[in-house]
Amino acid sequence: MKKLIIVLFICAGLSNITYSQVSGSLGNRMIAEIDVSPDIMGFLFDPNDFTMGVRGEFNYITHRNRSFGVLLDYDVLSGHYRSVPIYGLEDFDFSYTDYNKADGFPIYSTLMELHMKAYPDGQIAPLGTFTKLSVGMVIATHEFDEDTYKEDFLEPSYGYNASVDDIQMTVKDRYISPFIGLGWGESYPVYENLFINAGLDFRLFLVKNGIFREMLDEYVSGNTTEEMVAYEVLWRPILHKTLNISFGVSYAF
Amino acid sequence: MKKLFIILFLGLWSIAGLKGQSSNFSTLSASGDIPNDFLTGSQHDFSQAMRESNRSADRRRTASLKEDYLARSNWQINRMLRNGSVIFNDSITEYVSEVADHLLRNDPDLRDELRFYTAKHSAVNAFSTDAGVILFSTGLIAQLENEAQLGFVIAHEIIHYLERHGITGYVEEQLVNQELDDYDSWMMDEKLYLAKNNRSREMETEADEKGFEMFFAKSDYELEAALGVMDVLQYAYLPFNEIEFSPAIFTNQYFTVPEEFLLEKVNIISVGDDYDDTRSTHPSVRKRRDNLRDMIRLENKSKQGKEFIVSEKRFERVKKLARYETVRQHILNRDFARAVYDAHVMLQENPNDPFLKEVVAGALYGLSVYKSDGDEEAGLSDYEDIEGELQQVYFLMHEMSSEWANVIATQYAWHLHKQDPDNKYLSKIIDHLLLNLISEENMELKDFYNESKEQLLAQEDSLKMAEQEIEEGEEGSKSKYERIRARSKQSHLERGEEEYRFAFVEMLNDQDFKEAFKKADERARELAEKDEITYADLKREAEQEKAQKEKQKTGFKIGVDRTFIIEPYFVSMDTRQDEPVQFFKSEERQRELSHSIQWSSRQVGLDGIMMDSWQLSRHDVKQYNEIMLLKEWMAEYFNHDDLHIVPFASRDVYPLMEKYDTRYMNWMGMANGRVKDEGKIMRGCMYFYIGLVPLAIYEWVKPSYEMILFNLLIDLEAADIRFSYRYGVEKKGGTLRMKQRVYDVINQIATEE
Repeated sequence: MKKLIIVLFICAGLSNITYSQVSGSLGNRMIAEIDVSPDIMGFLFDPNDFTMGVRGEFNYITHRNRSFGVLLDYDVLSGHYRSVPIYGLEDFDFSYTDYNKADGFPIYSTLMELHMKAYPDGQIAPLGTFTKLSVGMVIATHEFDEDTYKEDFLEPSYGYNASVDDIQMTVKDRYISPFIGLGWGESYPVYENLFINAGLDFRLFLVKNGIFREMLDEYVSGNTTEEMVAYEVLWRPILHKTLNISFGVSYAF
Repeated sequence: MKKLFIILFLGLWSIAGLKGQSSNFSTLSASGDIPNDFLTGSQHDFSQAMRESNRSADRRRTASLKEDYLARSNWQINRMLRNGSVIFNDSITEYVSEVADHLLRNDPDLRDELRFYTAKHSAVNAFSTDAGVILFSTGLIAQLENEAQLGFVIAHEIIHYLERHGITGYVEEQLVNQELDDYDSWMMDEKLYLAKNNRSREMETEADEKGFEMFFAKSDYELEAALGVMDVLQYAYLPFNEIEFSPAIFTNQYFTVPEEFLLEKVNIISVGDDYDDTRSTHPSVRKRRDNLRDMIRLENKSKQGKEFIVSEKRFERVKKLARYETVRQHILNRDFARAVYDAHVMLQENPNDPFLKEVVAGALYGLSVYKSDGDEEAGLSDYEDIEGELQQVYFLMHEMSSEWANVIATQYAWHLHKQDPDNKYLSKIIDHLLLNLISEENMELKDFYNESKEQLLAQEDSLKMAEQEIEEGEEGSKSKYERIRARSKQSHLERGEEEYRFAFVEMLNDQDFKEAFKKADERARELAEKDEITYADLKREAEQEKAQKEKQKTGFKIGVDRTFIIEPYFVSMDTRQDEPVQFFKSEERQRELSHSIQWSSRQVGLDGIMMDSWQLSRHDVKQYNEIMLLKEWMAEYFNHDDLHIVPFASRDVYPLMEKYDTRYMNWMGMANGRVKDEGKIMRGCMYFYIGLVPLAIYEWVKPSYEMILFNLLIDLEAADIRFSYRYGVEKKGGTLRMKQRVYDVINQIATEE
């Protein structure tokens, strides 16, 4: 929150050193926006897996056709985990019982973004179409239950007296990645200083999904049991944030 | 005591005279309460007309056409009444109304249905609407000879109203139009055109006959006056009178215009009244005259009618006022030659009339500006077709070079300025004339003689000596070039080619004139420096252009704190329809636009003086007149396209500027509506072809809109556009989008740099 306030002060300061004639929305230059962001990517991959994120945005119009802003997006995504048997393991005491994906588990995604919206020639912010350049960061945490998954997917091989408790899975608690993005959108006036908006965002995450360890490429003698438990994460959570659409309302004040 | 009072009065009067005469004519204006016709919107008028019209017996198609007509005509009438040229309760209108009172004394109900107004226009015309509004132009009143003639014209117009010629003609035309085969459409257009004119002539004949029978013949007016009206119509294109024109009107004792600027003989005025009228909306004058003559004969009135019943004195007075106004309208309409000639006619009766002289000054000024701009024709009609003495003026103005035009205009205007130094309009045009003289005609003070031609020609010694030396082949006291110049000067003087150089003989001894010239010279130099092309300047020009483009993106900061806000313009359209204009919606949105402008002005702290006829109440006649003056100024200003010229109407606007302490006028307009998008089918097909079916459907069904908003901030003092703004977008120009744009424009105007 503190950071947000600092950003807003910077924006306000910027506006004082600009030389453009800024009308904004009937003289108002601060825009507050709230949107919903349906998880279209998730829906496309699994229609049963549909979530709706919420995002809040503040923009400050610094030039006739430009505004700077911050965005906070919160979403609960679905992560899927699937165990992948590595064939040919001789000293792996476990066999896989289920090759299908497990039920989804929640991944909590918080996305923070700084952006600039540019309106084409002839248009005046905040009304009309815009192109958005953004930079930001996503922080994702999860509720992956190791024990449940180990129980579900591994059982000691016949004759072996091993316990799944022996298998340690290191799972990172959180995933953090910066991104750069490009977006487009349009605002329509519905009432004085009240707008409805629609947008499309594309983001490129610079750190690959690191919540879960990748699948091993091949079996190497001397691997620990842990290393031999291969898994892959289906529908990497960040994919949900790679391409987003959003709908919402904004108010100028 | 009485003597003292008289002496004091005479003293004050003479002091006023010495100080300078302000023009004694100012444009005609309305008075009293504003009539409802000027306050209600066309939707209200339309609803009323629909209630009153009896369409129950009509077929559905006819009823629909009538409805279309009523909507369109009420809208057009409304626009016409608010265009800045129609006045009410003035002396002309009151007089016309009293004549109508006499004609309709036996039909008070009909009299109550009719409203008479005066249109400030130079055309000889009267106009009647189905709504009961009857307009008389000042051009017509100026040409009538007596009250009885006016009575006949009124009777004629009343019949157009009673017989609903407007709506009848429209419906008949549309019904015929629909039934015509489109195969040979160009032939059918011609047939329709002829049929339409034929019907129009029938209606005119009906108006003549019934007007004569029902009203005019029953009045006490002289019936022969109806024939006099035909004379007026036949010669409507001619000036007020036919008198010899002398260019001495605008020269002085030191110079005259060369012979080659004058015609030896002017065209004779044609007297033909029996022309082929098949392509005319009115019957030929001969037919009308013959018809009326027959009717007069049949009437067989024993008692001599009267030429004047209401008042001869008042008739002469309103006719004079109408003439003054008509002369003013000539110059507003850029008809400089006509303005000069009609003013010349009127000056015969009132030789010292300052207004008429100002008209001449304004016309000469206008002519010179056009000529300096390279428009040699200066908007003058083809002089070869002009008849009568008026042709002399056209020819003279046509033949004048730009130097001649500028010099004549300058010396004439200066002469008036000396008599009325406080006249701001004269001061302004003199400044412009001197600037043009220097920068466009490349003249200096030394190019003009401060001695008369006779005095110069009398100085023969040096010239004779120069000639002798040339003959003897000796060097003599003068150099070769001095001799050449002296010889050349003599030749020019003798041939009268540089006669205009004597125009300023008196003025060159006037210190004020020299000062004014010097100031103009300094100004010309400043402007020349700006225009001078050097490499550094080219670079600066490019940088300035770049900065201007940048400003378009970043927004302007004009820094105006107060301005007139003239009635905005709005048209709402649907170009898919035969009648693209949505009349009532246009009116409604215009009011919305006006309120938006007012609101935005308040928000940004701009003191906007609303000059909107839609916001007037019955008692606001003063403001109505002020709005009219500003609209007239604007109409004249735009009549000159891009040419920089001080409008004649400025003389009526300067007092307004002083009263409201602003030199700016802002005019905003918007066009908005649904448009035909010819390309959407193709685009949709393209999307469909590549598999984007939802997008294809969207493209086919989505409505296409367009919105254009423009704004002009005009500097009335400089007669120039201070700030212009134009925005277009292919979107629906709803209230909110409009409001955003209006705010942006007003904000730019009000923001200080």
